[in-house]
Amino acid sequence: MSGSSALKQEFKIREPEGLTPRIKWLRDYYFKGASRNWSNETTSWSTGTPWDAQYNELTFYIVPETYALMQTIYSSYRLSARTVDLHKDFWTWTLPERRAWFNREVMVKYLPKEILPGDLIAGGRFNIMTSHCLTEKEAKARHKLVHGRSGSRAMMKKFHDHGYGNSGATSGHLIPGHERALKLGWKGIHKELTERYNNLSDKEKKSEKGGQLRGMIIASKMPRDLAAAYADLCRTMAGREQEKSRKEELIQMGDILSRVPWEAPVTFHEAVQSLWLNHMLVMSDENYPGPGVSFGRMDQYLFPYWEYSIRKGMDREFGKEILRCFWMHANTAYDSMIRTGNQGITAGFGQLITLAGCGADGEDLSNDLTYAILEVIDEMSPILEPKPNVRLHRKTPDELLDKVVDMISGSQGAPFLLNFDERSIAGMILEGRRAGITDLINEKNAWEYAPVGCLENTMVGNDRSGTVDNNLNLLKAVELALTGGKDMNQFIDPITGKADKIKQDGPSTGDPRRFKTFEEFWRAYEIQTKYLVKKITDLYEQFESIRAEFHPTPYLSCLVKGCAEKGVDVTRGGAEISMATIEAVTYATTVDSILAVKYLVYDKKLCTMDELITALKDNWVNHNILQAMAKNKAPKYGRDDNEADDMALRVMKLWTDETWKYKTRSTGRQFRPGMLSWNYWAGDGYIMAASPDGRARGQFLSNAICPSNGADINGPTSNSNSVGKALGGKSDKSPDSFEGYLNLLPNGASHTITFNPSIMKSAEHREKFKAFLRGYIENGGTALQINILDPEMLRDAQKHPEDYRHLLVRITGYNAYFTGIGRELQDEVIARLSHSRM
Amino acid sequence: MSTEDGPGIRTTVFMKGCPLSCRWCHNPESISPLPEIHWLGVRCIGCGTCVKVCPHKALSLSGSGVKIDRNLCAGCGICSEHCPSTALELLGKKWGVDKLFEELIKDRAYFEKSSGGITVSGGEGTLQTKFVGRLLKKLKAEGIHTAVDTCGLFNDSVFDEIFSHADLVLYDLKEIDSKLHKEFTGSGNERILDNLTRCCEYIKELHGKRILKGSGNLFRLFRMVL
Ligand code: SF4
Ligand code: SF4
Repeated sequence: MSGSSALKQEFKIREPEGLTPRIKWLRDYYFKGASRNWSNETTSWSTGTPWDAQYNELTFYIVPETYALMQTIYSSYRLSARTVDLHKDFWTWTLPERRAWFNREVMVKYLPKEILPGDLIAGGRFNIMTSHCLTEKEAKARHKLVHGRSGSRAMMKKFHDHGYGNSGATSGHLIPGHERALKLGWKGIHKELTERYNNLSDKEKKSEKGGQLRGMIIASKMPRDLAAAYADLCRTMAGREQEKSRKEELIQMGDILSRVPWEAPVTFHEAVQSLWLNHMLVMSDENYPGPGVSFGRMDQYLFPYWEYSIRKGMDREFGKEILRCFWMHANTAYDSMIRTGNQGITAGFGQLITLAGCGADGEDLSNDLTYAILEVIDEMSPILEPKPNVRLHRKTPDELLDKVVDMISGSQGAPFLLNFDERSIAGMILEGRRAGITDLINEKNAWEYAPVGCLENTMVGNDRSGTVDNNLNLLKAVELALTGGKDMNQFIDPITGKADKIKQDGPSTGDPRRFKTFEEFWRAYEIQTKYLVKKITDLYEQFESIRAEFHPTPYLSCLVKGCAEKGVDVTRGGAEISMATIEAVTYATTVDSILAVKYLVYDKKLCTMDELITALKDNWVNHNILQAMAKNKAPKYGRDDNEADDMALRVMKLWTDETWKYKTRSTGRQFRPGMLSWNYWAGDGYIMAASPDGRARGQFLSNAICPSNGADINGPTSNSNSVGKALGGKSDKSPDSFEGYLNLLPNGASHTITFNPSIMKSAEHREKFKAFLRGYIENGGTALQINILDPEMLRDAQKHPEDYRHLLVRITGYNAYFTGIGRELQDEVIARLSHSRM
Repeated sequence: MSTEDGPGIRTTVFMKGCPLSCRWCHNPESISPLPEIHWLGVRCIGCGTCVKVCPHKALSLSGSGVKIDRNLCAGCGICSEHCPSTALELLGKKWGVDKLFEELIKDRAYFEKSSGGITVSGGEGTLQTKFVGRLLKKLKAEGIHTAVDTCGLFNDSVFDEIFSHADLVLYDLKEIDSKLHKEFTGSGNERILDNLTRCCEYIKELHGKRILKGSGNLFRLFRMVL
């Protein structure tokens, strides 16, 4: 105890200063966590039928940590569910109508409504688990598809157990059409839907299309009804309120809520109130708090309201106070797990906002609201949500860069995520071409893109790209090339102890011991990579088709362009741009492994293929010389070494070309490539066999597009140059280039660099850091996450977690509380940090 | 990437060989003009390969690690080639001007954004006058900012061959008092002070004016803008 207080002095953990009493109270209250009286804890709701269920595990297949708990969670929601009185015609309706009605009923009539002291925004509880609303027949059919012998759960588990990665039909991860919803108000959306429906023929009205539109019409009235209930509450509270200024605020909130979000907002307060309700109801509709339900370019579409209110005399500070309240609301998404605490990295939800960035002619679009939002984040930090992602480009003004560098230097590893426009736009344009949708994404509009979740680039308001749905371990193809298509290690179930027989899972590519040249090995790798990509698309199809049949989200569909036009739910491919992303995991480990095979076996002949395979099967035990050579002598990606980076590009081209070949069969969604590894590089390191780059089983894999841990010995510029080259580099000649940039990953790629705080030690150094960022715009990737952390402080935080409760670190786009992530991940963060230099 | 060797973001080339041997030297491995073998204990896995391959029997392995007998070592680098874990490093690598140039311009984007560039440091870069001259000329022709770090002990040809292609000379004057200079560095400073005066004159000639930018510590560093 005494030791900890002495150390506390040494490392100052940032706490917000100078908050208004209102915000200080709300923030402190929030951080009381489980001891709060009020919370947004998830509640469960049922139709009351014996076959009813709420939990949709398909959404969580991408979270391997939940596999073991799946049945428990499923049962606990079932058991705790309260029954909703159904409309007498309920069971005669189509599924989208049932779901829309049921959710509206819960949100408007059943869920308690409260406004916290001082809060300027209404919309408290939204974490709900609602009935699947299935008939007995539907529920039986679904049960078989999910729980059957070759059902989705069994197939998902097999895929993950054998080291291929994971896949799931996950919710969120898109940017709803907020701008349009603000411009039209729900009244306008409702009107449009009704007109569409009325224009259908009688036959169409009876078809699925008719049912879908009716469901969406029901959903489109939910925001109005909910706002009306909150308006009543505000008035009641105002009647009881003694304090004059608060009374006025409540009266005003009541007025606002009786207009918006049904009517189009006029003032800034109205716009932010609308945005909050519109956003929060997406999370209710999907029964999942905030997984990458992102806001897009908030500083752009809210700016007209901001300008209007400022012109009409709104105090800028009051505008910021409204935003601060909005920020507090976004954080209550975490209340879904309020009793279990911060569950490691999965505690990050990713309600992302995009700031600044370029316009149609490459001009910079940052404005006063951009700065106001940055100030709010700065003042409230450390806090998790919503996370900002600042778009940088060649014309980013110095003023903005100064603010960004300022915030980074004081961030203690907290919220810094930057997106790079030129490289990102090049990827979006490539997507338009490769997906054959140049009418929807092209040179003229690609600048409107925004990132989702962490850094996953998509278009806005008409795009669902399933950006976290498929996570593929490219390294598995190296393993299969070394074994001729079989697992290298036998899988033994850690719980049952049952061993799976080793089978010929992949194509038989022959005994690698007989390969005379590296190219023969490469051909085997190529065939296995093709197999992996096909395998994950087939697996996804299984999940996607179940979701399409049983889990419509009619409210969300109202906010995604294409759904109303086609009369098709967003879960059935209704979005104009309907894609599914494969995120490649283990990229650098894969590239380095191939480089090591080439170097050790073919170029330098330091060992035979047989010796290498034996060493891998032995997990490098008793092969320490060979392992040391693999680790230290073989070339590595991430050092700006052209030979290694050419291999990186070769690997990149192969798997991305394969990805573009597939679409989901049930919903017609085109697969597209990206690189985000969430936390899989840590967990899957225990599953995947030892790799030729010298990594033993149990050690972490590489993260997203980052070089392998410890490989970037030439510093951050070399590291960044390699990343840019792996994405395609630069060329004016290629038809796929935009402003000279190439980008093979339209989704973008997560790149993290950790710096020691000394990089910011003086004004001159900060200038150099700014220049580094400008250089990154030219040479680097699509997205960069910067951690400024002192390894000593983190070691101290491991020893004295109680002193560092609010210390945030960023891990692949997720800000997580350092003390809440697992020990291994903590060690990884420290290891990354300790070797980095500049 | 360096943020410490001159303006902006820079790449620093360390040249082998130095006429001085300062007590405080940060880069002692750069004093000798010959390649030198170094052992990094943290990387060593104790495999003994190096001991076996050394043709001059200069290495031995014990509980405390690898010992190098400098009297026997010929700096051939064979051990470092065979060391599986890069624990033995041969410092000093032969580079051709063209190849080094290619390596150095990789960070061009960062130089341009930061008004940075290349710094030749050491050791004492001016000892390899012709090589450094050709390198700087090539870099300057590409519009890259060039700097040379020197201890001041160089001969006349350096002016035309190197300084004429440099944007900045970082003149590292160790000590004003010659006696102390000899004590600390192993050699007096008469030539160095003389060179400094001539350097100033050279600049005057070049620009018609003298620009001096002190780093605050007169005895350690003069910065002269050419
Ligand atoms: S450099 Fe050559 S001589 Fe010196 S220790 Fe190594 S192998 Fe032996
Ligand atoms: S060869 Fe390298 S790793 Fe092996 S004992 Fe010598 S220095 Fe150590």
